[in-house]
Amino acid sequence: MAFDSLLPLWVLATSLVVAFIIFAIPEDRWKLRSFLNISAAVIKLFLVMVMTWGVFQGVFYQTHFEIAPGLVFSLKADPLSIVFAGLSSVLWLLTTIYAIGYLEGSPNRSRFFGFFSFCVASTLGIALAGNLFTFLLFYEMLTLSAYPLVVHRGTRAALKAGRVYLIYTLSGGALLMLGVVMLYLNFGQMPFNSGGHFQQVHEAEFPLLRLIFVLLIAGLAVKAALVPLHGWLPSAMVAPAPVSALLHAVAVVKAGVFGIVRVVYDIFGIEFSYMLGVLQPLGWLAAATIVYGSIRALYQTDLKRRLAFSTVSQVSYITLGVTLFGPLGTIGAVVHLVHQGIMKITLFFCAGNYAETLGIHRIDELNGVAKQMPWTSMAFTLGALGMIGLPPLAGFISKWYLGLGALESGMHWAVGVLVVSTLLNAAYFLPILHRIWFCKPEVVDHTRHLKRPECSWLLLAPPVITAVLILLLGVFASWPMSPFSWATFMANQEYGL
Amino acid sequence: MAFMMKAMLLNAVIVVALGWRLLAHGPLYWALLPSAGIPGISIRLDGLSFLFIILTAIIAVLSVFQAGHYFAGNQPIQKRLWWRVLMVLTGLNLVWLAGDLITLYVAMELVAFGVVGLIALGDQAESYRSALRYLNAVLLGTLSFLIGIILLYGIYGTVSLVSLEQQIQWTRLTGIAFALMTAGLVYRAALFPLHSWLPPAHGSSHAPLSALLSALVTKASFYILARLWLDWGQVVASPVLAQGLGVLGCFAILWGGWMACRQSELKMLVAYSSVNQVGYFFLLFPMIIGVSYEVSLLVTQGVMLQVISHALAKAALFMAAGNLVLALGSKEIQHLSGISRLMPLSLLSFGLAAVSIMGLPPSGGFLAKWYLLQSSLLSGQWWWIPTLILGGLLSATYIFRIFSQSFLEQGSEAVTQEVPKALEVAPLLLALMAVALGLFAHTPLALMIDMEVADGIR
Repeated sequence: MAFDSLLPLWVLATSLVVAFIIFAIPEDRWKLRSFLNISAAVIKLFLVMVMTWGVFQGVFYQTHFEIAPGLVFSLKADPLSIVFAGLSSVLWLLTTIYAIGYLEGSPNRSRFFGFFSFCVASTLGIALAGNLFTFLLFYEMLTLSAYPLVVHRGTRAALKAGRVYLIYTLSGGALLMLGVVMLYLNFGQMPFNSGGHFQQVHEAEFPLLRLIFVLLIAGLAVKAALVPLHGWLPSAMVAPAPVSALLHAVAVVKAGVFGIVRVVYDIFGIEFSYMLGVLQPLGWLAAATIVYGSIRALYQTDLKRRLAFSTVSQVSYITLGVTLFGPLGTIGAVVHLVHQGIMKITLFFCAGNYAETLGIHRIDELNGVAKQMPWTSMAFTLGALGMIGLPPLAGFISKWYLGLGALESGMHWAVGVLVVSTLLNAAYFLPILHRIWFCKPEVVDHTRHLKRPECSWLLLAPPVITAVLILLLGVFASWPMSPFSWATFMANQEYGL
Repeated sequence: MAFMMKAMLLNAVIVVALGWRLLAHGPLYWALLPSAGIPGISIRLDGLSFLFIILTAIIAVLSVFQAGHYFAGNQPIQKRLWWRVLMVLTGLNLVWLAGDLITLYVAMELVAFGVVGLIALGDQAESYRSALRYLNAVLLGTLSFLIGIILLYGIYGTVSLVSLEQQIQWTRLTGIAFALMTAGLVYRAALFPLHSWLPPAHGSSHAPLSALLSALVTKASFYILARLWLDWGQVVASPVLAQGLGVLGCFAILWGGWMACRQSELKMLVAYSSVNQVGYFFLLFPMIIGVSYEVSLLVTQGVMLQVISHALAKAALFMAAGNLVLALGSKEIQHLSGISRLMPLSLLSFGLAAVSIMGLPPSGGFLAKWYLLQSSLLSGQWWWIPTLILGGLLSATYIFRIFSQSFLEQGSEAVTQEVPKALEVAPLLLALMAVALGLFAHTPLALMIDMEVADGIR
């Protein structure tokens, strides 16, 4: 029993404790540091798997204690947290491996990996948070621990990006905190509860609840990069590739969206939010972001910047799915949370490989790169096609269910948004693929031998693994324990099916 | 140093004894010569005062440890240092415990003269100037306080805080006395716009001493003010005066934050941050006057939490900043580039303490902000909320100026000096305490109210 109730804490501790140990490890002991880092990631993955199995069997994991009267620190595992915790722990392992390869020989690695672990601990805390207060705690910890990663390179440009990042996220955090305080004050503690808390609220409270909803969503929307609060994300691209990968796929952006999912489903409850009339505006905002992000992505000449605007657009699919009132939309949203993460991390790993191996940053330099880096290019292609939503890849599953959800809820315009966005996705990804595979390189690099792997296996293995995952998650979506099954499980709970 | 450590040990024993006494028998009031009709010399021990006694013991032992290592090998300074530190500490503990106005007055003077001595230890012309400026401010403040005491004694014939609490009534003269005492204490607490003496005093003295000054000494005047208002405020304070103090507090938050953003020296930035943080304390007054009992408890807890976490965090900030300055051989912020590689531990302590200063979780500063937001909503005084939020963002702005500089890789490679490892212990411990206060606040919060309640019933 003690194990069950402490398991969420152990999951957190694996990366939190390692973070502090890594800070203390001297800079040049990279073997020790890598060993510690990877073993912690493996142990965490194992613990999360145990927890997943337990939740599947109906075990209830919860750790909580009272910080001050009426303020409870609570960690618990429900289907939604399993989805997010599973995603973060898998991708943490892969990104750690990638980062070890990527940063080999560069300065300040103790600091980097320390804050990297810290960042993941905060993400896991967000996933496992059992109430809004605990969520806020880890949400702000994430803001702070991601800053040193964004400015890691220490150039003036990086510091400027860091400043922009802080201005956006700290202001958002302040709004979120105000919203949480108002919620606690007027309606008591807010444990996350599928179905929400407001089934029997008097109509006189509606304006106050709307105000609180707006505050909470505004605070979360900054991290979720909803237009017009997305400005920090493209500028944060100056960070090293593993950081961008982590930021876009699991940590910061996802934390914002995950918060929106929690607030809508587990605080307000989907039915009540619908009644309150706040879902529609949020849906429009998400739709606008989807289209706007895609259009901006079209005009970027820098590969990572194009990917960044693509994130702005793709992450809002999740928000859009949340606002579609109906189980199918919910399934689409939750499963896209995982699928988008895996696809986007693949793309960023590949972009990092191009930059590291060939020094390619701009899209027009990618001509014929597949000859020199076939594996990376293959992974990139799978990721890009998945993003467009080609069957049978993972992205198709989520788009399909989002579309079904839109039809089910009668929000037909959302189908239009999905179609337009798919076309735009194709318009900004297919030219890249065309360049990679079919264009002739301007300068042929004769110095490379074909026998040697295209880059260090530390850099190659992670994108290849995630690319395979994109395929598997698409083909075997209906298997038990797949993200899709978990999303279905969660949606059934929410709608009481 | 060895002698000081023994003194600290003795202090710890006394603190434990007091705590035991408090738990076993509740609040204590004791006067030396009650029957002889001589006013003064009395002691009041309750939850709040005990909390400050513990805080003082913790910060004192760590700053003495820090100062011992900081001045190791500097016998001339050590010879002049310790008795001044002891004088300040005695005065502070007497302030927390004083049961009457005369004892309070004596305690305040004791603190003031000790502090003047500490600031003057800087041994530069600048330090002497700061010390004199401080002395002027303090004497003026204390004078005003003394006139208030005399007036009250003239009206009620007693200086005991307990009897005054029972007898005090609203009259014009009482109001004047109360306003005079408030004004004097406000000056000593360095509230905007009477703050200009504080940054040079704290910024120019040695780092371990700055820690002691900013962590505890500024709190003494505020503590007295808060106790007077909590005891008598409902009877004699006017809402206008209370709101005025709150408004000045807001100005202090904004002005202090703004000035901190503009400093070029590291320690001056930290010193201006105190002006900014002290502003939050003064939100206590508008929210205890004319509100329900629950709100007044909530805001008292919030502000006292802010006071305590600021004490811990600011002491850590000053010590860590002192280490950075020592390592760099320069006071300038712009020379900090690359320091994150050379002094990671001090920078970590600085960062952890800064989390509390910015009011981000998990930290005492965050919980305090949570309580303050709640109480401004509950009391209907929503107009404090924008300042609370803006103040947090401003403090993040000045804190991240330092981090931004320390992460910068290009620029001058600073000449560095080896800093003893022992100097990095105390700031880390203090910063960790400031953070931990945000997770384990049950006991301190209970001490702030339960004893007060018991006190009220008695």
